[in-house]
Amino acid sequence: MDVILGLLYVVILFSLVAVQVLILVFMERKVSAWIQSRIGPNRVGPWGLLQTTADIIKLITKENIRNIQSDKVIFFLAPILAFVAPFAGFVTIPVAENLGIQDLNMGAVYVFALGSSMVFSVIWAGYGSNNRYALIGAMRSAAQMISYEIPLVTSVLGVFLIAGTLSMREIVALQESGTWYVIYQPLGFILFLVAATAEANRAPFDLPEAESELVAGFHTEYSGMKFAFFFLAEYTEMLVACSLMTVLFLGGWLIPFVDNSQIPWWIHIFVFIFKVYSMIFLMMWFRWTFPRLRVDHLMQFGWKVLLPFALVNLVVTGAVALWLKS
Amino acid sequence: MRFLIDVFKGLWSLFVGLGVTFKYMFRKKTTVQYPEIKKPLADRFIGYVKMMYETEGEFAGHTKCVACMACVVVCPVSCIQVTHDKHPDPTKKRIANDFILDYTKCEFCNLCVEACNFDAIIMGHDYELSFYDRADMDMILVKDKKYNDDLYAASRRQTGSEYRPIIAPREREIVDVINKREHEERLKKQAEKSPAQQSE
Amino acid sequence: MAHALMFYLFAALAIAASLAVILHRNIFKSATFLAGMLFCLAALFVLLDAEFIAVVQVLIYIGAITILIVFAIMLTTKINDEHKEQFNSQKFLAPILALGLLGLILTIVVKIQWTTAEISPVPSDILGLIGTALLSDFIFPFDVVSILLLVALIGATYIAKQEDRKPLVTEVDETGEHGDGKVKHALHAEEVEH
Repeated sequence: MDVILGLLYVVILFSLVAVQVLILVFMERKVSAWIQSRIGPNRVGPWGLLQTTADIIKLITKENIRNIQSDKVIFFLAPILAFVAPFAGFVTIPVAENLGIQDLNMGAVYVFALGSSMVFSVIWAGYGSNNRYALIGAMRSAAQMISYEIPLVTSVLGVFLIAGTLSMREIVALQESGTWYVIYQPLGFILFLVAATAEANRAPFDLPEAESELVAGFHTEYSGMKFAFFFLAEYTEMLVACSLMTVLFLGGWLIPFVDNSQIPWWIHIFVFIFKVYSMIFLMMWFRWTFPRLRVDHLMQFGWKVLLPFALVNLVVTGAVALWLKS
Repeated sequence: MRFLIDVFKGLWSLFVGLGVTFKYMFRKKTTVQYPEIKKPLADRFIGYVKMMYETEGEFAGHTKCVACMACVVVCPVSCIQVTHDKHPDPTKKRIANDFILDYTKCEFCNLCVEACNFDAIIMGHDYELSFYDRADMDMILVKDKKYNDDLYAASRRQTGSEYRPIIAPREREIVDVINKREHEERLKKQAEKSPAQQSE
Repeated sequence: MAHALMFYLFAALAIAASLAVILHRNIFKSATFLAGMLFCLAALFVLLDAEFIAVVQVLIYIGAITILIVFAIMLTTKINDEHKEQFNSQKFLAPILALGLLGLILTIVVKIQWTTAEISPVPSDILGLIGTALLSDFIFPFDVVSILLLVALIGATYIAKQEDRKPLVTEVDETGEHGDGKVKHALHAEEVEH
């Protein structure tokens, strides 16, 4: 029975995420077009809404090309892990009160753990495709992901210190009585935003797929459905990162200055989705504004700017928490 | 301290950049929706070769081409073929029967137009040069009168007026200006002369 | 029942993966199998209701340590040779010893009368308990480990920065073993690292 229920959850979640990704890709194109004074896709379907659907159909029907010297198994496994790792992160994210698949008591750490195993998919893709650009892209990407993971985790430690729990649902519930944690942790929020953008390999940190240097980075050799999976993975990761930001810093499904127990659950869902999409819009805005960082600048920024600030944030938060307690 | 200042300056510059792109989001869009709306072309834009026709007189609708072969000779890639018939106008000798241009070869060099002594061909403003079949790329510019009329109507439809053989409008303008100035000077000289003559 | 089945499945997978780590000829794939083995261990921890340890296992072992191993493999030249001899001269002696040890352990396991204890349910605030234990009862080992890591970090930086301080000596190795004219200085650096 549990197994069937679990499978049902997976199917529902997958369809939800797939639809979200379709919307997100469309949104990305529209935002980029607006920023560049263009119109964006407007031909397929009403207002071009079916453009991404058409793209996905194209990707599915495309031929699956594999380099004959590539490593068959690893090449096949990489896109699967790339998608599954962030996808599994949705399990702990509460969308509204009592609406979420499973509330683990170390929810946030679970998501970070999945994010860190994401690195393997990138390395597999680079190694498996037997292409030097793919390998260089993969190594860069892996180096970037493991070095930005540290400020990512360190920047949210402040929130955990204040909340005193790692459970996502409890963290949101704690923000109901008090204020959103973004008020207490503005520095932490900015650091988390930057590190999450880097973690999702998005511009200005999209070095692994710097087109001008590396063709397409670790997914150079991928085509058709496997490429679509990498595509899906990038946007899923973005969704997870923005959901985490919403839960940890922006009060989840809560509406400020209102008694939230009076509000029906479906409004909570809309509030949550609105917050997530605002964060995603911010990330897209970043992407189409900032130029790409150079490799050494990227590493310098991660280790010499983000990490010290995250540590200072943690120490100050801890000291203040201790002082308030005593 | 310097490090901190640098970091905050950097952060501020990021916000400024975001502000700029945010402003651009609400600007007037510059996209031209191509198949429906076409941008006006420059006068000297070189599209594919068009045939010119007599517009008035007894022989209106006949091609201006008299099959003198100047363009065939000058074409660097030999993409023009012309056959001829006797011209219905007794003052002229020949008229082009077939004027076939192989667009797989044509390189839009404009030499044929410059060579033409009768302003019979010009470089048009059409640029939609895609075909489903390679055979279509042998474009027959003169075939029969009906075809000629259709082409003529189409050419009028596109610009709203008759094509004028503009080769280099800028140069022509300059020449016009110089000619005008010379003409005026001549007039002035004449005017200067004439009172002198009168006084004599 | 299903629980036990899953446990044995993951245990078997872990054993198979760890065998593959040492037996596979491609060292990159060995590292991959190591990650798989660690993942199976994490699954075992989940089945034993130790979810926090499972998550930390994935976060640290798979996400950090195996990745570092992969980096080491990728950055070392000529290590990924599939035709290299996998075993050294003690390949006959070592299995005998290992089997002897296994037999010894098995006899102990079989002979001892295992007493079963009542399993108390996992407290919900397991994280708080772990944190308090780490910073009160186990503060000394915790600090020692921290200092050890710090020393390792400083040492690594020292070795990495050595090349900046010394001018590069371009002296060809005289033994002639390295026909490609390997630089003596580089050899020394390798020795220091080992």
